[in-house]
Amino acid sequence: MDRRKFIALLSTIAASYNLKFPLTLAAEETASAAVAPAGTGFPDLVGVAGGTPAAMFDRAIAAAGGIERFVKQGQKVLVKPNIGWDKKPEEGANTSPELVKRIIELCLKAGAAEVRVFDNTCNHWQACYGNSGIETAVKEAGGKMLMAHEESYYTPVDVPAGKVLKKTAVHQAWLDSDVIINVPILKHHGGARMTAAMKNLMGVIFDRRYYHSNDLHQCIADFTTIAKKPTLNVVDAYNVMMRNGPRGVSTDDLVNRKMLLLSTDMVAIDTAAAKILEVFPQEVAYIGKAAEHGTGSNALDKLRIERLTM
Amino acid sequence: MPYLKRIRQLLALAMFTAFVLIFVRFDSFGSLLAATGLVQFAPALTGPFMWSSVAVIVGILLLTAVFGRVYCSFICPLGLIQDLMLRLRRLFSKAGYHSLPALAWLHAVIAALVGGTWLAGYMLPTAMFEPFAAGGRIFAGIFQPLAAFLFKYKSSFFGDSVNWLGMASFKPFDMAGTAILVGMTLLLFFLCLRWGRVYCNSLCPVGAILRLVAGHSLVKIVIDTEKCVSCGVCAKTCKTGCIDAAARTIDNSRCIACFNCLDTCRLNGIILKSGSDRHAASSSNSGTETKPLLSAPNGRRAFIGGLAAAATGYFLPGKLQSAPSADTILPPGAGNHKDFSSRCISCHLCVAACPSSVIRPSSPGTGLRSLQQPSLVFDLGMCEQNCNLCSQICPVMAIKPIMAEHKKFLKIGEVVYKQNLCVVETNGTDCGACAEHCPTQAVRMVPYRNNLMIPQTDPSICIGCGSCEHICPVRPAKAIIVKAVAEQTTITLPEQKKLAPKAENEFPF
Repeated sequence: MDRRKFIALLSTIAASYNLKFPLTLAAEETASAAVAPAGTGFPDLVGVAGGTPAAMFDRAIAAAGGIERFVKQGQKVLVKPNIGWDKKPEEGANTSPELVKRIIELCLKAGAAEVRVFDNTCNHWQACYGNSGIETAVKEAGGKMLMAHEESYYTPVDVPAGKVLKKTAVHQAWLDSDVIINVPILKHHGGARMTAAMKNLMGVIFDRRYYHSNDLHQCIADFTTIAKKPTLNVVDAYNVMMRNGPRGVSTDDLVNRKMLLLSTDMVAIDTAAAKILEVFPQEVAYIGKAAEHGTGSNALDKLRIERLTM
Repeated sequence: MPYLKRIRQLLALAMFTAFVLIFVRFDSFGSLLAATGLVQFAPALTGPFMWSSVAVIVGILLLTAVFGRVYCSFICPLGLIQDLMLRLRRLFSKAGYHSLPALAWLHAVIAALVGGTWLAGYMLPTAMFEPFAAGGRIFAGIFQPLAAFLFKYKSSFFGDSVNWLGMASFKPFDMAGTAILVGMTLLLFFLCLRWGRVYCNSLCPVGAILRLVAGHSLVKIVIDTEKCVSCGVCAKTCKTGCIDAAARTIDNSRCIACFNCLDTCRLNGIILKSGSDRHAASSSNSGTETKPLLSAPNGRRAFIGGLAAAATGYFLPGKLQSAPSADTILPPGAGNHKDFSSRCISCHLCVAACPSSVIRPSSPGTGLRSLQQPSLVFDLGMCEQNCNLCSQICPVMAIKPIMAEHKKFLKIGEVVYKQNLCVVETNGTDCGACAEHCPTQAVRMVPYRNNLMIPQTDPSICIGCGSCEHICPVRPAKAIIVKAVAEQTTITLPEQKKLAPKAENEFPF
């Protein structure tokens, strides 16, 4: 049993001990999915460049074994984009709605029972859901928007492996979904240096101020140790906010990189994302801390990476 | 004619429902405002000159001149609230209403006092006595927080998907403001229990104006003295106590056209008469109380008393507090404290509509001139950069209309950063929540010791939206706050260098 498996098993046992509802089975499944062993024949990380976000996702998911590898008939899927800001799609502060739409369509095609979407937004949630174009995209694709602005939607969960974050309230939909697809947008971030896959998970917990006042980087890394992990991560790096992030002052802050990353490994995908953002991965402290936790690998040279251009 | 009362009840119920919907869910039902808020007398009178306001005032006066004070029974929010209270009264008491004295003198003095303070730009009395604002505060301060409270703690009732109808953004009860409001509502309830709609004929400034016209209305309720036996059945149904059964007279200046009395008389002794029969009507209405307010001898006294009261109202408050507090952060479009405080009638429409619940009634600590007038508090949210709702809806334009594009750069406050309280300084860990939320990067993160980043502020490009203050995790005192500015101005963002485009299809990893 390797270290990653051991930690996953440990956190699964701990979670099943602490949670009050029958989550154990789902947690075991996703925990094992998140650390799919090498030798499955699929790349650890897929990078695609040169297409539209939706087209790049199609290429990436095909290279990773197709959506059916992650979404099975009758499963409940959660798609978690970044919808943090009251900004329009072209302002590059939220995940591209066309990407979210494409992912939901594919999930439903693969037989998902339902696909739900939410984010605990920074600006007023209705403005964010509406102006980001994501609410419309989700509806068009046949998914369902969930509210996430009140504490009552969140359930307290223990984080047994956390160094600083020992307990946090997580959105109910995160806990009761079978499959989680984490779809952040890559941006510069004044506080955390960069936001991509791991930072995006701050939108599924209720109390972000706790993170900010108790070592932000450690808390971000600690949260990745909870039993329930994203099944798949897709980083939207089509328009990348290179400065003044994560909100952005104007579209002058964006560079059109036309890229997309896909991986089951949050640490690997964030390490690659940092390089697109032109930030040293070592400077983004939570990447190293999450690697220490065994969430994933930041040693890109040791991973199988598939680079595709369109 | 029982159908008149039914029509009144239906229309009033529709109006009341509209008020509830507007004040509880402005985002979905704000468009109803055109049908309710804009036909209100006092906002049209106290707001800046506009032909639409003139039309509203003339319209209501004409309506009153023809049908009497239907405004009070069909349109006025506080009138509708009182009628609701009177419905509740029936649970406590089966007793009817009493005939009340005209109180014309008192009413004139109070209305003149309020009018005087209004002319002097001292709005608290107007805010307290004027029925649209008083009603608005009850909707915004009691109904809406209650709905929000139910939603916050009982949200499972509404299901887990986005339920746009059932949702109300969280609105807090604030201790002082709610106490004042509940106190005033209870007082009104007490007045209702005791004397019916006595407020409308003694305290209400709009009532005082309409009263002058209603006494001469073309269509009015009169007693047929030939048939009347002074049994008093009709008087028991009169909420304003304007029927004097013994004298067989009705004071039409006080009648609010609720039509409750019309079908009570089995002898058909109380009837609706139109102006064509004015002769018959006046012959049956010879009592002094039906005379208009300004007729002698009560009228003269009322006139002189009113003049004195108006003068007192105009000159006295300035002696008590010459200028409003400058410490409050005003809603975007308010300009400065003096202008805002002399225009705002505290109807709390903006308080109800603000999607992030940052517009709240000022606490008593800010002084009487701004008491109950809205100001911004950032504990529940920030003044959203793309939102200009409050400036769109202010019925008296105390918050002037500003375009959404202009609003993004309108400075309503200024940032104050306290490094000694900041997490980066005290804990030695990264935070950056303030800079993250800042829409203009007036707060940005700059390198600090130990590979940390620390906030640096540039007040010249700060718009005072409160995003930084709202999100700052430091407690009890926040490390970054927004202070008030004397005058709202527009900032200019510095030009930023264009970023160099990147070569396509080159993976950096």
